[in-house]
Amino acid sequence: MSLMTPTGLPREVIDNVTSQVLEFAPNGFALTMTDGSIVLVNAELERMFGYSRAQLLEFHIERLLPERFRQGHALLRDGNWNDFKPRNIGAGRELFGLRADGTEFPIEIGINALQTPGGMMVVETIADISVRKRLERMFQKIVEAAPCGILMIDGQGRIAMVNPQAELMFGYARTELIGNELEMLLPERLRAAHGSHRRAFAASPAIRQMGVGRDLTARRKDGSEFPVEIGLNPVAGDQDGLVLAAVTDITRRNTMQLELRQANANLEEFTYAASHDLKSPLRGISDLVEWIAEDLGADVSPAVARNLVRVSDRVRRLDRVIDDLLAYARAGATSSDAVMVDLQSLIDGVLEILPRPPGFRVRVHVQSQPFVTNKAPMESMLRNLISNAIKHHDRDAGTIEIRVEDIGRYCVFSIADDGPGIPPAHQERVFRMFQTLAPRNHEHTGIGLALSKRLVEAHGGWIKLDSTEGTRGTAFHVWWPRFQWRKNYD
Amino acid sequence: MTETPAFTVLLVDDDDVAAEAVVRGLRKHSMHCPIVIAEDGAAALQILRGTHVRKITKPYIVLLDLNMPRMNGIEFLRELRLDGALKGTVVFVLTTSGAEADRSRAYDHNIAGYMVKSAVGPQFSGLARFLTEYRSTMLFP
Repeated sequence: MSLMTPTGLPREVIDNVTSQVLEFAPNGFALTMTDGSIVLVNAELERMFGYSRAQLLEFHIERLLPERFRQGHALLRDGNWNDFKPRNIGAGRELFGLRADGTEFPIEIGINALQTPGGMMVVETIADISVRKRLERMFQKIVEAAPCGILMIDGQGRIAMVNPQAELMFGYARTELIGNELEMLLPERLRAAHGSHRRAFAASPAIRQMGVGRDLTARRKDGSEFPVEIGLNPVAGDQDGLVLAAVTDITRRNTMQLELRQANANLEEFTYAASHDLKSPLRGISDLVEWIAEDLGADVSPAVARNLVRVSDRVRRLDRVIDDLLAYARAGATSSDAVMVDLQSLIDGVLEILPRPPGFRVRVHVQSQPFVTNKAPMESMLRNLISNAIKHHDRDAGTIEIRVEDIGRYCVFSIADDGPGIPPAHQERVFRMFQTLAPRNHEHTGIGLALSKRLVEAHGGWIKLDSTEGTRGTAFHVWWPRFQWRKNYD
Repeated sequence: MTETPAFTVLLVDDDDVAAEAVVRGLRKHSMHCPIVIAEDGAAALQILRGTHVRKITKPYIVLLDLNMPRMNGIEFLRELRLDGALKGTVVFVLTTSGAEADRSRAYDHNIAGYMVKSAVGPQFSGLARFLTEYRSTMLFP
């Protein structure tokens, strides 16, 4: 042996570094004779098992394992040392170490034979895998407890892991699924196509929803089929191309969607019928009253003239009620034509066309960034709330404060007046259809708040009333989402 | 200006008050052409084909309501366009329905125009003005 190494460093330096590296390696290390007696250990092994170096050097390596593993481990050293294959034990099965205090902990052991001038020796590297085992248990728990079916698929399209929900959903036991092709969970007619989809996905894996815009169908063991939604998550950096698939049975959701669609269709039909079948006769009555008045001319008793006016008033009111009903029915349907809305100019526009007595002052404070939303319903909601504040005011002069600010993901409107306030007993009632606290002959039907509430809720927001007993003033607060809910795929 | 060519109006509406409202509205606005009333699409077809007790003389235009019992406006239009002798008839739809679906279906049958009756209150002044204009400028087939 030369004193200089190929790197040009003296041999002693290299030896020193080597023993330092060994001493502070993150794994426990033990060098033993072929009979298992320990001759060299590092600091990590001392720490891991809680023995001093002096104690360890008195031990056979088996002393570090619980009784039940000792014989098996000792057998590893039997046999022909010349073709000893390095091996990793503990991987694939549970192996534990035994600490000085008698407690056990999960370990993995790498074992190799070493030819030295002093004869054959054995190198054992021991890793404490408690942390990894803990993570595995956590992972296991998450997978088992997930509310959807979870399947791990390997690069060959075989099922590598399933959770209990997946077993339940498909009607197979775990053992029937593991190792088999994923396509067993599809109706036969879809299997071939699915294979090519899967290979295309494997070529450019990404986290995504599977089959967006299409109906996905899965097959149970008994052959019955059901609609599913599947999220695909490639396991990043995995050599095997593992993909985690989260499967949700959407039978119930589909049924509800269908029912909802039917209900909407019915409502639309109703709206159409109401607009024609209710309004036509009403128009007739209005015309007839007008003709009667014309035919009577000026030669009419005051009582008849007054009653004709009363009929006309009621016809007009009924006409307005029908319009309001239709507006209310339509308010449930969100339109998709979202535009960039600037609240200051929107409120200015509403105020411009809103008639108000000269004594009324309106103060507007907008601290909100423009955002994309459905403008018409928002405008309608604001018009209703502001005109309510004016109409229901009991004095000739008043002040209305309108504030808009961004709070979290909501744009929050506050419309506060200094009117009479709304007694607590009536606060729930005012949001219901055709409920008004004002006398009947006013120019409103009592739909404004119900309509506003429906408009706000149809857009994912909510409305709240704030009025304290004994003090004047009512404030309405509206939380309007600044972001659109993602539309369903249908 | 030469004498304006007169035409007869065939008014198709199942609601007699609605029909009378049109008549009164037109008269009030000095539209004095002859008006024949049909209570639904089937009656209107009989009148146009000369098989009805009520008679009509050319030239004429049709003011058509859509929502009617027995034969509604769209069914009437379908039948009318299939009739070789009547397929060129000038038809204006005059209805309470502003629904998009009704409008596009009516235009599919080559109507000359689509008018929505306004809500309660005075109306038809626009219709009278339009028909007067129409009468003075149009040449009939």
